[in-house]
Amino acid sequence: MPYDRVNIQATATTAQQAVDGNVNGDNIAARAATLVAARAADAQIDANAASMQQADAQRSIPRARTDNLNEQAGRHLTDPGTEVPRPSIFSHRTNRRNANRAIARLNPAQAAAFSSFVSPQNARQRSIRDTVNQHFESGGTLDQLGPAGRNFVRRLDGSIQKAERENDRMHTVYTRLNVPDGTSRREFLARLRANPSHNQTLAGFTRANHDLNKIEGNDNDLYVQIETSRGMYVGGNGSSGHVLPRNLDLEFVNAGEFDVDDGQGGTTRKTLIQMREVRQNERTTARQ
Amino acid sequence: MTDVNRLEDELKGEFGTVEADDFEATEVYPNDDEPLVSDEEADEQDASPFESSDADYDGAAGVDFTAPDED
Repeated sequence: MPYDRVNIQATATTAQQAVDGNVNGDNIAARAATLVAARAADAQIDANAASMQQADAQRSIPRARTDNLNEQAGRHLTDPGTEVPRPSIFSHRTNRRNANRAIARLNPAQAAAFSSFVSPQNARQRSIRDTVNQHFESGGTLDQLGPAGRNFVRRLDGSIQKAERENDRMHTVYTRLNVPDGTSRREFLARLRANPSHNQTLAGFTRANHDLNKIEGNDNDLYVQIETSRGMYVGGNGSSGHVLPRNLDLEFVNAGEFDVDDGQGGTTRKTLIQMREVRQNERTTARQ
Repeated sequence: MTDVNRLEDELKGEFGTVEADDFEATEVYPNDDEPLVSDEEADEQDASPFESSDADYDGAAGVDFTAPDED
């Protein structure tokens, strides 16, 4: 599936269905169990490793590196009844500056991997990107990849971690939602609202955008507004893309219709599913 | 050929031979207490090396919104 859209499994109408899994052919329970096991194994690695670098060489899920975060700064979820703003020039310049600092820290292998993933230049690079994302979205783990695959993914993880290290603010980014086959938009929203505690994980790397207007789609589509400190800003020269890390945990906050600043003096009405990053309680600094 | 094996072949074709574990060469936290570029230098570069335009951000690669619109 394209990595510029997300799947959210709102197809389980009850908690029991989620536990049973295999709703609409999607084994939610198995994927959740894999994720829980991976997080437990990572916690064990963290506890035993002599350094964060050693731990990160063994972990299956990249940790957040947002140690320099000011949670009050930046953008947050839009309050119901208020207008969804466009990204400001100030926020672009700040995000661009922070990203430039991070890019200066990328080694050539990381820069090559990240560039090929975000801006693929040929069919093979697109195939690599899609295969990597499909692997994680289908419940695959880092360990199940071969050595080249693991190194490639670690280069992507490392690139994003360096961006997170330089980031000092919250972001509000958008992506489009894939409604599961056979489910109407109305059904989907009803089920999502009925399961407000049903958290979601974006398993693969996700391409989002700071500007909702830049996302292809029409007013009948569903869009996701995500509040997060994670990922790397890749916008520049009038663009405002943002790449989110794999295995990003989100909690459902709200779903509803919002007026969106169209950047041309007017507004459009769009349905947003609002989600917020779930922070993991992880070691984020070197052990002294 | 499995997807994992095909990915290995594609990565080796794209990036060359990969050592069994070259994580040391992709270290995550080198000297990250000191900024490598000044504020002025970081401000100067407005273009992203990873994205030429939002045209790359497409919804045109296939319509995945397959649910009937009942509203």
